[in-house]
Amino acid sequence: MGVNPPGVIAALSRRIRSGEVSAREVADRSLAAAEDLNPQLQAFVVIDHQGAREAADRVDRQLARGVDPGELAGIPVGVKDIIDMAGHRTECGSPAYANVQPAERDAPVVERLREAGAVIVGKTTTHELACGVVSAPASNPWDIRRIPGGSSGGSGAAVSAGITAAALGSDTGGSIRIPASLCGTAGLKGTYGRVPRSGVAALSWSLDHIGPLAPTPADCILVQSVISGFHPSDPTTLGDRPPDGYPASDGGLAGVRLGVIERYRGPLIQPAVGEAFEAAVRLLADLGAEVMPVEIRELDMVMEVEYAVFSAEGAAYHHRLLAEAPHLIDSGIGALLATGLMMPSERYLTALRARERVRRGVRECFEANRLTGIVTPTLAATAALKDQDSFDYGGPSEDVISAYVRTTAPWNLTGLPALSVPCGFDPAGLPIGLQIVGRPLAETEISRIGQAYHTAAAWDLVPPVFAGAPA
Amino acid sequence: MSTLGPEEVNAMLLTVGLNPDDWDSAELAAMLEGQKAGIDSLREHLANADEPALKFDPRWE
Repeated sequence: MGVNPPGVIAALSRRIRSGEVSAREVADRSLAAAEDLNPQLQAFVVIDHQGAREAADRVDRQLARGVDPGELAGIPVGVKDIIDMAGHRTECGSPAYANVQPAERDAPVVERLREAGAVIVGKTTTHELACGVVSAPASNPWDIRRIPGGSSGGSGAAVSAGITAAALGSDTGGSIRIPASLCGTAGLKGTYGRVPRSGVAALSWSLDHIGPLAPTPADCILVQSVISGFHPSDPTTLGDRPPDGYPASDGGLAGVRLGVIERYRGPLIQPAVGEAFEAAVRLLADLGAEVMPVEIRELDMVMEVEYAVFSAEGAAYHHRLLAEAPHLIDSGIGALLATGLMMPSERYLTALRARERVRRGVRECFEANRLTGIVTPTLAATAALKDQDSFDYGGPSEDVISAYVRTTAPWNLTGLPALSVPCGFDPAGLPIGLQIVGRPLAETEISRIGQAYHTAAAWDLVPPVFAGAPA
Repeated sequence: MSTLGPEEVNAMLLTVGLNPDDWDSAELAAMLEGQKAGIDSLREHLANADEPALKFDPRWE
């Protein structure tokens, strides 16, 4: 690693700490960008001018006194609107939560961002109840006729457009990595239990993960290191030391062994996505990684298990809403949760047994091949039009949700860390993502691999300059 | 076509505390059939009946 760690956040942090630009100037530009772009993008449901300026001024005062404001000093961040922020309603993209009382306190992840000096610019748009991939009314900055993905679509749009240098999302079946891939940002879902989920509306307790979207893998792991760690309010959080936010690397991948899951190479994939993925795999090999084809037959079960587990857990969480105000839930989401509530226990237990089998199959693949990681296309397709239902792969076709979740959900079921990093464009100029999956707790390692790829590929897919920073 | 009739779906809704008037029984019937088919497909992978759903660990640490 050189003297300066890589990434947009580290670069902006250096400028703020050196006095080249104040945290207040950065916040003002971020707020202005949010106001300018939000009519088109609808990335934010709340833009918090006062809170952001107060936080930025606090950072500037600390720096003036010689006090270290933290690793994210003055960095503008968005927070998905299923995460509690004191003084703001957590509306979850749902009419059912439109009139709830404002949160009395910050969720632990928000507390940790603030303690690290982050400046929270606003709350970002989510798909209703974090259950979907559209995130209406948000738009994709690369083509506003298209979806940003979801359910953390506003977070993807905010980072992609350069409004914020990072944003928090949540991921139950791919909801961080899907918008990251579709919007051309990096996105990291850590190991299950790394990040406290308390103060965050649940979709599925055993599948939900909180994590960052940011321009590069280096930015993601820095934010992940800040928000990770045991918290007494969430009994599922792990006691392990949080991941290192500054992975040492010389850019090479010697000693890294990567498996490529054959089933994701086709035929259910857009040709441009397949070509970009194969080019990424070749570059990883050029960087020194040993790449080998692998197959995990237990992945046949992923979609059935994912739907069974999240519909049952989501139904338990939203039971009261389903019973008392079903008219306030989107009919498709409501029906899905209702069938979760009606699921016989034997079916649910069968799904749990299958989940354990998937977990074991993936572990056996890692161990038998002595893998450092697994690489896949993050998604089989690029951003859909807002009214699009399916993708035609030139013969076979697939519905939009399956095309987006099929490759991401396995890593929710297994709880393994998974990173999406931009790896190209399709002929329409829409971003494509590469997914890197690691062993348990290996967030830093997959981020190092992702950053090495990002640097070598020099894609610069997302304007890697934060729009709020003076040129 | 679903083998679940509206009466059966409505009875299931009542069992879990939901009001049948709030729901489209035909839509739910189709989704429940899909759920059943999906879980049935999982059973083909789970021949060993001794495999538990949860690996219960009694240790405190």
